[in-house]
Amino acid sequence: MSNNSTSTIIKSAVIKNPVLFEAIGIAPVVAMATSLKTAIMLTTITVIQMTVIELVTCRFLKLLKSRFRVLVYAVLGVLINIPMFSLFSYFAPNETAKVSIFLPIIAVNSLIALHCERFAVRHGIKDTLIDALSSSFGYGLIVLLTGLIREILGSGTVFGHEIALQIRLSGLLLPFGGFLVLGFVSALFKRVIKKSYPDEKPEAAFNLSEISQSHFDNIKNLFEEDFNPFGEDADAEAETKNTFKFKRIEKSSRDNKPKKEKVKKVKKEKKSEKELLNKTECKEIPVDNSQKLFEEISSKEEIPVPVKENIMSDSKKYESEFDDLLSELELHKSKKEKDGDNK
Amino acid sequence: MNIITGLFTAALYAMLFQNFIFTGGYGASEAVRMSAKPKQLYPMTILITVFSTVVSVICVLLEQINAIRSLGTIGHSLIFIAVLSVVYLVVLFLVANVLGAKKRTVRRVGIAAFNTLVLAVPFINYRAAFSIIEAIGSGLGSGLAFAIAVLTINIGLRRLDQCKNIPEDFKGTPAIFIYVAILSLAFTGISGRGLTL
Repeated sequence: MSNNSTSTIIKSAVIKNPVLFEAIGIAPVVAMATSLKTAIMLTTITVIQMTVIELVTCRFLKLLKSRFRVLVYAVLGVLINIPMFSLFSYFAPNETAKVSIFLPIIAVNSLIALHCERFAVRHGIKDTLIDALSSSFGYGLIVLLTGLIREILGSGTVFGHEIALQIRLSGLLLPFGGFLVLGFVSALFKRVIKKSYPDEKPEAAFNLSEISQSHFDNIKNLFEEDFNPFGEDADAEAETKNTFKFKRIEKSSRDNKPKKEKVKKVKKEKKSEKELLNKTECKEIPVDNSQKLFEEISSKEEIPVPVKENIMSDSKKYESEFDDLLSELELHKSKKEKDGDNK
Repeated sequence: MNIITGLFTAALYAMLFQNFIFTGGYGASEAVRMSAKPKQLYPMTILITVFSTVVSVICVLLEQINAIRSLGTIGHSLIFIAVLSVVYLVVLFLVANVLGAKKRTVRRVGIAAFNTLVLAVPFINYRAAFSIIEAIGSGLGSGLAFAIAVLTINIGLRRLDQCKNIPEDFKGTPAIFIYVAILSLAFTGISGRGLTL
C-alpha cells in the first residue's frame, strides 16, 4: 500500500474519527459495545457493511437519486446482517442473544449512509474502498477500545475471563457508561493527535457555529428551510450545475411579492453604498451575443406571435434573474469589504 | 378511559421514564448532531414522530397474523424494514409532490426514517407485546423523546461553548459526550434501571 493510502487511512481513522469527532454511529457503540466479544461482532458487521454498501453505491447507485439511495442502504444493511446474525448465533449464542435487538438496528447505522453520500457517490472504486476500510477501521478501533474498557471496569473480565479487579463499575455497562467512556477516549485521542499532528484540528469536524440559533421562529418554514443532514451535499453539486438556471426561473415564477420588494430594496441599498464607497472595482459585465441573436431571430416573420412573446418573457426573466444575482453578489462583496474595514 | 391511560402511559414511558435516546442510546447520533443545529429540530421531530408512530402501528397490526408472530428476530427485522421502507416511500411522495418541499428538505426525510430510534420502536413494541394504543403512545413518545433530548443537549452545548474552564483536550465532542452521559445517567435514574432488551 502506498504512503498516500496509509496517510489517508490514518487521517480518516484517527484524526477524523467518525465516532469521536463527528458524533456519528454512536448508538451501536453505547448500546452494544459492552464487552470485547460484542465489540468484535459490531466491528465485523460494520467493516463488511461499510465495504459492501460503499462499493455497491460507487458502482451502481450513482445515478439513483439521494432520496432513494438511503432506502437501498437500509435494505442492503439488513440483508448483510442476516447471514452475520446466523454466523454469530452459531459461534457465540449467548452474546448474540444479549444483543439480538441491536444487530438488526445496525443496518441503519448513520455512519454508512453518511460515508456513502459523502464519498462513494463522488469517487472511484479504489478511493471508495480505501475510505470504507479506513472509516470502518477507525470505527472498529473505538468500538473495541470502548468494549474492552467497559468489560474490564463493568464486568471485571477480559474476553470472558475473570481478572483480579477490586472495583466493579457495573453502571458502565449501561448506555450512560458508553457515553462517558466515549468522552474520555475522545479527549485522549485529541491529546495524542495534538502531540503527533500539531497542525490538525480534530474538533473542527463537529460544527458548533449554529448552536445558538433559535428553533422557535422556524416552525413556519418547516418545508422551506434549507437542511443539510449529511453535513455536505452529495449530489447537490452536480444537480446545481445542471439545473441552476431552471431553479432560478422556477423561483421567479413563484413570485412572492415581499421577496421582489426585498430584492429591490437590496438593489437600492447596493446602489447607495456603491455611490458612497465610490467603488470602481466591479467591472460591468459585457453584453454577450445572445441578445443580438435573439433580436435577429425574433425579428423574423416566420415565428408565430405567441412563441415570440414566450421567448420575450423568458429572456426578461433571465435578465431580471441575472440582475438579481449580480446585485446579491455585489452586496455580499461590499458587506465583506465593510467587515474587513471594520476589522 | 383505558385507551387514553394506555396511550398516555406508553408515551410517558418512551419520552421520560425510558427516554429511548438517553436510556437506550437509540438515535443518539442524530440527537447530538441535531442539537448543534437546533433550527432544524421541528421538521425532524415531526418526521420522526410520523415514522415511529405509523411504523409501530402497522407492525403491531401485522403481529396479529400468526405466520408473522411466529417469526424470529431475523424475520421480524425483515418485516420491520419492509414496513419502514413502504412508509418512507409514501411520506416521501407526500412531502415531495403534495407538499412541494424543496429538494434539500426531501433529503431530510431519509435521515428521519432510517435511524436507530425509528427502527428500535417496533422492536421495543414487539418485545413488550404492546397493544395498538400503546404502540401509538410509544411512537408519539419516541418523537417527543427526540425533541426533549435535542433541546436538553442544546442547552448544555450553549453553556459548554461559552465555558472557558474546560481543559483544552476536553473541548468539543469530549465535553459533549460527558454532558450527554450525565443526562443519560439522570434519565436512567428516573427509570430505575437501564433499558434491558
